Parts: sequence; structure tokens; C-alpha cells
Amino acid sequence: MFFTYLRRELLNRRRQTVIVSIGLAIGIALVTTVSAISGGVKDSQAQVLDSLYGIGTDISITQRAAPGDGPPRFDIGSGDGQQVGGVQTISRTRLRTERGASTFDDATIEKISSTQGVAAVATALKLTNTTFEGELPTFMQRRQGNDGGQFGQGGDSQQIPGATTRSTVVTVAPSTTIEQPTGGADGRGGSAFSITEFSVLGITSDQVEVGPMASVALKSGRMLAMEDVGKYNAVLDETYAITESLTLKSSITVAGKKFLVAGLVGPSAGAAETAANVYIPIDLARTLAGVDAGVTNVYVKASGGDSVSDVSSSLATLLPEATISTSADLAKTVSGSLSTASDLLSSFGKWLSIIVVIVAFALAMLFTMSGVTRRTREFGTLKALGWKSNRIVRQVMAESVVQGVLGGIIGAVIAFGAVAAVNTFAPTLQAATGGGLGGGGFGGGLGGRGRGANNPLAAQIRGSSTFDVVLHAAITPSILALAVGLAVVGGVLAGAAGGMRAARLQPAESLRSVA
Amino acid sequence: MTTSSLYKLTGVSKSFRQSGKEVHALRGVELTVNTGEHIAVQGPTGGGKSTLLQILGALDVPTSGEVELNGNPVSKMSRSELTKLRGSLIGFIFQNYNLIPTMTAQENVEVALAATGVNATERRARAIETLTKVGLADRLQHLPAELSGGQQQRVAIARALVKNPAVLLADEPTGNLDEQTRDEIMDLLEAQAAENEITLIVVTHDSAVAKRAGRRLNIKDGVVREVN
Ligand SMILES: Nc1ncnc2c1ncn2[C@@H]1O[C@H](COP(=O)(O)OP(=O)(O)O)[C@@H](O)[C@H]1O
Ligand SMILES: [Mg+2]
Repeated sequence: MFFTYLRRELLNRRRQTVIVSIGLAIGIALVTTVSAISGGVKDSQAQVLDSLYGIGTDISITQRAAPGDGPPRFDIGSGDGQQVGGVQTISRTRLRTERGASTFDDATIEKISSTQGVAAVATALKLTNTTFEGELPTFMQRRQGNDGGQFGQGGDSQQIPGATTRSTVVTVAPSTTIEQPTGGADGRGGSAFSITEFSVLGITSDQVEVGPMASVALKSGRMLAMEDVGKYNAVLDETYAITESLTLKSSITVAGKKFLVAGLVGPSAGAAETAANVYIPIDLARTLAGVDAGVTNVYVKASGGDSVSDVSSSLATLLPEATISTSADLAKTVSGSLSTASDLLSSFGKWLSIIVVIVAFALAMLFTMSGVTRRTREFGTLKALGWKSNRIVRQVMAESVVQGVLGGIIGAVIAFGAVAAVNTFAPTLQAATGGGLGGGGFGGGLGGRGRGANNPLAAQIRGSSTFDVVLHAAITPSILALAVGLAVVGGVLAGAAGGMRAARLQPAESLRSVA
Repeated sequence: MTTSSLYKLTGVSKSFRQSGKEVHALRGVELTVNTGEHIAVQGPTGGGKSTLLQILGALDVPTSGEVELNGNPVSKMSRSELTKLRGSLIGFIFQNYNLIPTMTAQENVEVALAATGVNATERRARAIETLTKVGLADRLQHLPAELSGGQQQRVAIARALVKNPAVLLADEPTGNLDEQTRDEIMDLLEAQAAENEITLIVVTHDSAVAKRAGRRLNIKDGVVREVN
């Protein structure tokens, strides 16, 4: 009788069923869609972080040297380059650790590895290859105003669009990076030069569980292996290779040495970009950069999600000088439309859906209670026929729960549609980290960019300043569970409200002649 | 058939509080009803007819006085004991039929057995059998809205009869019917009551209906009087 009655009420009192279900559906659809988009935004953030710090990296460790280590200097003496008619053509390349970064030695890495809660450790030597090319007057003279070429206006640096192309032209303030002019002008007096740079990562080939090599996937050729130790073989980011017209088996010059391009890599699934332009064996990286030993970056994977903060504080005690960033800290360094979307969703989106759900629940309760009131005589009659109150309450509850579940299903269908629409539209979100491309070291630009200056970690990732991430919203099983859960809760609340009213009805109501 | 008493009411009073005022719906009712009797209850509107039926039907307990049904002390029973008693002994018939609008005729009859723990197969069989008895064998799957007033009341009678009650309590059962249907319904009620040895108590305004009863009561201002 229970199911017969339930079916009859739901099917033959369709208006009631539809109104309550649709009301709940709208609330649930909104919550589900907002959650799915939030999830997509979180994934995008994770993607950005994974690209920067390697998939699976829970903690990133770096250390800054004591102040006093100035920006890279190209000391150009009168004997350098070719002199033609009062113009000196020069070309200089240097491979250096990123500004201010200091290294960790093997003993420290050993201590990090043996710290409680550390599951895996990867290390890398992060370097930048900078090439200075240009013409300088034999006797340079500082001039005001625009005198052509790339001679800049001051200490500020430019942010270069296009995340993957890390080679760029940077303007330089003569006062900070170039020795003060010593002689008179030639007629035009200008000096034209350019600086190109790309990032180089010295890697240990077997560290693939965590760190930068965890976020790359081989596109062609091969990865670096143990037998590459000491060999001039390199792996390139595919996008970088294309912009520089480099192919497999061609060669790239790093710190004046030719490296054979052994493989091309791209971001692995889950990462938006690779961590560097060029990957070379760490031993050669050390030799060419003049670093005796050690690494600049340590990537740590914690053994369990819960222990990340514990591991982080253990490491902080172990390495008081180092900057220890958890993925949560790192997430805060990401800005741009991606983080705006994230903020918007966590504030406005969350509250809007909470309010809509509350309104939907309240309406469902009111409709159910008024439905019970309309059925006063029906329930009174059932009681007169010997039906216990509980049986009637159960019936009302069941009707509401089914309406709730129906609302949940309709809501989920609407949400799937909305999410599909979002994914078809596929909005591109930008994520910016740190101080931008030029902020790292040239012309004193670092100090001028608040975020970069405050965040050494972000500042190190020079060239990775902007990412374009396509938002992909997805309704995950847990979101679906949330939708179904909310639907059932909505149904139970409405059923409880209606059931309470039904329980209070007197059997004598059956005898009332007016309905 | 031995004449045993089905109901025994002694000093039954029922009062309601309505907007601060005490309304005495029944005052000191003394009444004995024997098994198999056919009683008509008449009286002016607001006289207390429905309240008496409510007490007899174990829908409510009196404010004071004793009610015995088949030897059960109804006036001292808890709500759940009253519910059980209604489920097994009492069949109600209402002026407005009070069928569940979303259920078919057959399901409406089965509803009366759902509370008694009869299994689904037997429930269905007994519902069909009873509906056949009241002449609705060809209307089993109709919804109340698809039936005439007389047919709806037949469904209600089947619903009351299906559990073999000791008593049928009918509140204005023909109040909404035309004269011919009224007589058919009364014929049916009386025949079924006689056949199954069911006591029949009918509240009515209609003297034609009242005249059919073996015993007539009149209630005015809560006071019950025998009519000869
Ligand atoms: N639940 C109730 N609450 C308040 N007053 C009631 C209630 N039921 C009946 N009454 C009052 O009791 C008196 C008798 O009512 P009722 O038994 O319905 O009369 P009848 O059926 O003869 O028309 C009336 O004055 C009515 O207003
Ligand atoms: Mg009445």
C-alpha cells in the first residue's frame, strides 16, 4: 500500500510534485554548477602550481644568499669585441643561478630526505642563460632622451607577453648595469644592444616522482638518462624550440657550449606549462655556471596530505634560513583573472548558492505543509480507518523525499547542461605569478614590482609570469553526491514539516462536512 | 442470535473550548446499543449528532462518563489503542464519501485493510470481492472523480465493510444523493448489515431514511432522546 499510495500521490498530484521538485532542482543546479566551476578553477590553479613546482610537489624549498650579490654585470673593457669606426660590437653570454638564490649541499638534501613525513625529494639547479649582444660607442656617453635602439628610460623593466617565450629584449639603465661612459660621443652617440635569456634547469634524470621532471611529458626524442652525465645533451621545451627554430638533433648554445637537442618535452597532463626552456645534466650545469656543488631548488612530496604543514614546520626548524613554501602558500602567489574567478566563486558564488538553496528548501517546506493542510480530511479519514499517525507521516515524508530526489536529478541534469555550456564556451583564465618577466634581475627592476620583491619564490620563476589556462568545469562524483545529498536533505526537511502537521491532525477531522 | 450489548454509554458528556467559551456538545448521554440493531440519529444542526458518532467511533474520548464497546473500556483507552480498535471494529461512512482522490476504487478499499496487517494478495482479493458485492465489479480501476456520487458512496461502503466491522457508523450517508440513489444506498447498507450481523447507526436529516431504522434517537443541545 505504501508504494501504491506514494506512486498515486506523485503521479496524480503532479502539480505539487512538479513545483516542489523544480524548486529544489533550481537550488541544487546552482550549487552543483558553482561547485563544478569552483572545482575547475581549483584544477586550473593546481595546474599552474604543478607547472611551476612540479606535479606532486607539496613543499618547495629555496634559499636566498645574503644581500650584496648584485645584478649580473657585463664588464666590457676596451679590449673586448670588434671595433669598427668607433663602434664596438660585443657578444657576451653567461649562465648564472637566479639572482639571490643560494645552493643547498648534499648533506642538507640528505637531512631533508630523512625528515619525518618526507616521501620523495627532487632537486634542481635553476639557471638563466643570458646573452648580451650589441654595439657600443668606443667612448660611451650617457645621453638623455630617445636616441633610438633599445636604450631604455630607467630602471623599470618590461613584462613580456607570451609565457613560453622567455627570450626577450630588455631595456637597461646604463647607470646600473653598464660602466659609466668614459669618453666623448660619436655623432649619434647611441648604443644599441639586446639581451636574450632563457631558463636552464640542471636536473638529475632519475627524479621523476616529484619536482620539475614530474610535470613534463616527452614529445619526441628521448629524456635525459643517467648515461648523459657529463655529456652535452639537452632536452628542450617544445614550444621554446619552435620559437627558436630548434629541432631534434640540432644544437643549442648554453654558456657558450653547444648542446645536442636529444629530446623535446611538453607539459604533462595536469600541467599547463613546463618549468624551464632547457634541461641539461646537473653536473654540466654546475660546471658551466661555476657552482661547485649543490642545488638551488628542492621539491618535497609529503607522505600524506595531512602532514604537509607538519613536514613544512619540521623543515623550517631544520633550515632556518630557507624559504619553505607549501602548495597552499604558493597558491597565494598566483594572481590574475584565475584568482579573481576563484575569489568570486568562493565569496559571491558560495553565498548566492547558499541563499538559493535556503529559499528552495523553505518553499518546498511551505508547499508541503500547505499540501498537507489541503489533505486534512484525507488524513483524518485514514486515521478514522485505523491508520497510525506514523504511517501517515511516513507517507508524507516519502512523497517529499522522492520530490527531493527528483529535484536532485533534474538539478543535476540542468547542472550538467550548464557545465557543458561553460566548457563549450571554454573561458581562458590568466594566472600571473611574481614580478613578471623582466623583474628578476635587470636594471634593478625587482624592487619596483611589489609582489616579485616580496616573494622570492615567485621571483625566481622568471619568465613564468603569465599562464593561460582554459577553464574546464567538471561535475565530479563528490559534487554529484553533494547534489543528491542536498536533494535528500531538502526532501527530508519538507517531509518533516509536512509530516509534523499531518501527525497533529485529529481523526475527527474526517467528520467535518467542509473540506 | 443472542442480544448482547455492543455499546454501553453511561453519563457521557463532551465539551469543547471554542474561543474561550465552553461548548457542551453532549450532556450526560445514557445509551445502550445491541448487536445487530439499526438505529437512526436525528436532530437539528449543532445538536451533537456528529459528536456522538465521534465518541461511538472511538475517534475521541468523552470529557466525562464511560463508553464500553464490546466490553472494551473505550473512554480509558490511549490514542494508539483507539486507533487499533477503529481499525478492527468500526466502519465509517461519510456524507462526502471521503475517498482518496488519487487512488482507484480498489485501492481505496484496500486502504482499510492496510492498517490491519493483511497481506497484499488477500487484500486485493477481499477488496475485489467486496466491491463486487456493492455492485462495482466493473469499476475497480476507476478514480473517484470518474464515478458518480452513488458509486463513490458504494466504494466507501465497500471500504467500511471489507474488514468485517462490528458496527457501521454513517454520518449523513445519503445527504448528497438524489432520492432514487438514496434508496439504493440504504437498501445496500441495510442488506449488508443484516447479512453480516453488523450494527448500523445512521445519522440523518432525512425522515425517509430515519423511518427505515428499527430504533430512532433524537439529539438536541447534546441531550439524547428515544423517538417512538
Ligand atoms: N472540534 C470541535 N471544537 C469546537 N466545537 C465543536 C467541535 N466539534 C463540535 N463542536 C460543537 O459541538 C456542537 C455539536 O456539534 P456536532 O456534533 O457537529 O453537531 P451536528 O453534527 O449535530 O450538527 C456544535 O455546537 C459544534 O460547534
Ligand atoms: Mg454533523
